[in-house]
Amino acid sequence: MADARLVAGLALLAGLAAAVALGPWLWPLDPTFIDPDPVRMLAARNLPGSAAHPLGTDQLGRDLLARLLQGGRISLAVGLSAMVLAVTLGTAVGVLAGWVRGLDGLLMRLTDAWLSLPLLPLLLVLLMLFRDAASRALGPEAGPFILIVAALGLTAWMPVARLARAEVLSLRERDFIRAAQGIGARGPRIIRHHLLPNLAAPVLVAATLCVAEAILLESVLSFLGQGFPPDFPTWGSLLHEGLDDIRSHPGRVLWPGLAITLTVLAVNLLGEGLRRQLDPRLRDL
Amino acid sequence: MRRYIARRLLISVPTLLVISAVVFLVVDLAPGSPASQIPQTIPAEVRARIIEQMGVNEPALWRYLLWLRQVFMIEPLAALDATFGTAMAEGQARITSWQSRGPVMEVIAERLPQTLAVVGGGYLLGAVLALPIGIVAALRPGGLWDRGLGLVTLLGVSLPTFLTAALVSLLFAARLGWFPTAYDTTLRVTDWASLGQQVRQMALPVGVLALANAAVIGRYLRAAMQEVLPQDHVRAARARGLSEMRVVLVHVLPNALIPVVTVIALGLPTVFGGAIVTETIFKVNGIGAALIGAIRASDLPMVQTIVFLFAVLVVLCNLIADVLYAALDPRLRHG
Repeated sequence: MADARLVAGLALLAGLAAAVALGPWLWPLDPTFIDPDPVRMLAARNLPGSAAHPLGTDQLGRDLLARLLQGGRISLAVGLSAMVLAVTLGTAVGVLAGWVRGLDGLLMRLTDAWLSLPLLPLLLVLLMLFRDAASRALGPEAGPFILIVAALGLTAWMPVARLARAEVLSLRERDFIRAAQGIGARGPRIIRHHLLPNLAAPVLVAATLCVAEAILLESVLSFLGQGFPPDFPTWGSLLHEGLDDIRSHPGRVLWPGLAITLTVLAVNLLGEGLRRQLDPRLRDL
Repeated sequence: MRRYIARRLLISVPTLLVISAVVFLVVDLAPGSPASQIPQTIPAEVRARIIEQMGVNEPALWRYLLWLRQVFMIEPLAALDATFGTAMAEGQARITSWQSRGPVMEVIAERLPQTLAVVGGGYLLGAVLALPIGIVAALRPGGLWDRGLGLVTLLGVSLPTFLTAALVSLLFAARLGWFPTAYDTTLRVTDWASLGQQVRQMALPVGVLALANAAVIGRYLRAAMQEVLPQDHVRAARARGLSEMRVVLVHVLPNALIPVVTVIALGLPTVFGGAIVTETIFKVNGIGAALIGAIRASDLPMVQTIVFLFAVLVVLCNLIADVLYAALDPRLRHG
């Protein structure tokens, strides 16, 4: 029987992902639309919720629901891309450390040192120093996106590496690996056909948690004003913008905050559920 | 034990070197830095002298060594000078902030007490609160309290601190007016009234941090207690007729605390890193706020120093966690 957390997390995440992905069709208002007529623009600012704008409008008269949906696409994309980068890097380091005896000490020392880096301050500094250069080199939208994904991925691979190494160390003593070696299979083939498929389950759990972590960190960075540029909405940057008006329009902080919380909650539920599902010892607790 | 600590200390030296190299190189290799980041208002000849001092035209390794000398020799000597009135670091170039034009360390010394009081206090209070929370949850697994804790922890992990902090500040400080919205650093505690003011301005940030951390640490304590409870020595204690209270507090809790103490020490750097967010929202004039201010003003020496201080804190906490673990768990010491 599937764990209730797994089902709840999966349903919540699927709902959020569908809403965000189908956003432009579900709610066709343009999230960047600012009325060119100044009188109408002024009248459209800071509206409370209504049928035309269910969550109201922001300080420039843009529809908050449309911006929330667009921001969600970017937030989820950042989380997923950073996770893919972190998992790829972590699995590579972990498998190499576990399989190649000579590399183990060096790679694990490196992982430990990397774990000792002060994460949030360092991310802030990375963004501050490289954001302009990245925007210039890769364009005003792709630049910050790639930079943030790279920064988040490069600082999140260590737990995956440790996990993968531990798994490989225990797998390599198992009979089926011995048998594969016995019939003459070489390292790369064993890694591809025997190690990686067996690693998939535990790494999957770590990967879900990676997504939650990345979405949270991105929103913290945007919240501190060091993430995406203002006209590039993510949940974090929407929240950052709304903070100035929190006393008069708390909804502008509340809605993006709720979106972040729900996403992270869904991913955490999913991770916890998966962990219980994959580890029978935990199932009856 | 002494040998263990010595060995552990030796391992932290290369770690510290690697981290300092990363922190230095990230700032140093950034495009255009450091020379082009010097504010335009500084006259050309002064700029040339600054560039000369920073050794911009020297190889990166030399610049790194220069920086290490400043961080590990000149600044500590200057600190000793300030404490004992000596003049060991006189005439040496100290790490200078581009914002205040004064030594970076002076700004940090000014900001550190607020961070320690608010963030340290919040974490400490959270750890203390975690004790009863975790104990009660572990004694009745699956009970109302345990389930409640599970739910609160899950929410606590999923709710970003900046959201809870912003909402708490909005509700209790701005709307209800029970607490001040900004932290007054100049407040000196001299009598009962100012003490009350100090407590009131610390209440919100400390409360938010304490609750968030109490849930997480309580969860760890619960898990650790569950591991110890079914062990034989606990059964033996019960068989000897000891009261349940005595069994839990004397025979279970100390053993369960061993891994929890480590978790508390290891969580410290994250909490201080999170200070950046808490201090921004509650307008506490601490070290995190200093970092954000320096980042917005492109004050590279300040940024570099604060990030490095955070890194030292991480290494220090890892060290403390390991030593504590060895001190509390004799199996590790003799094994």
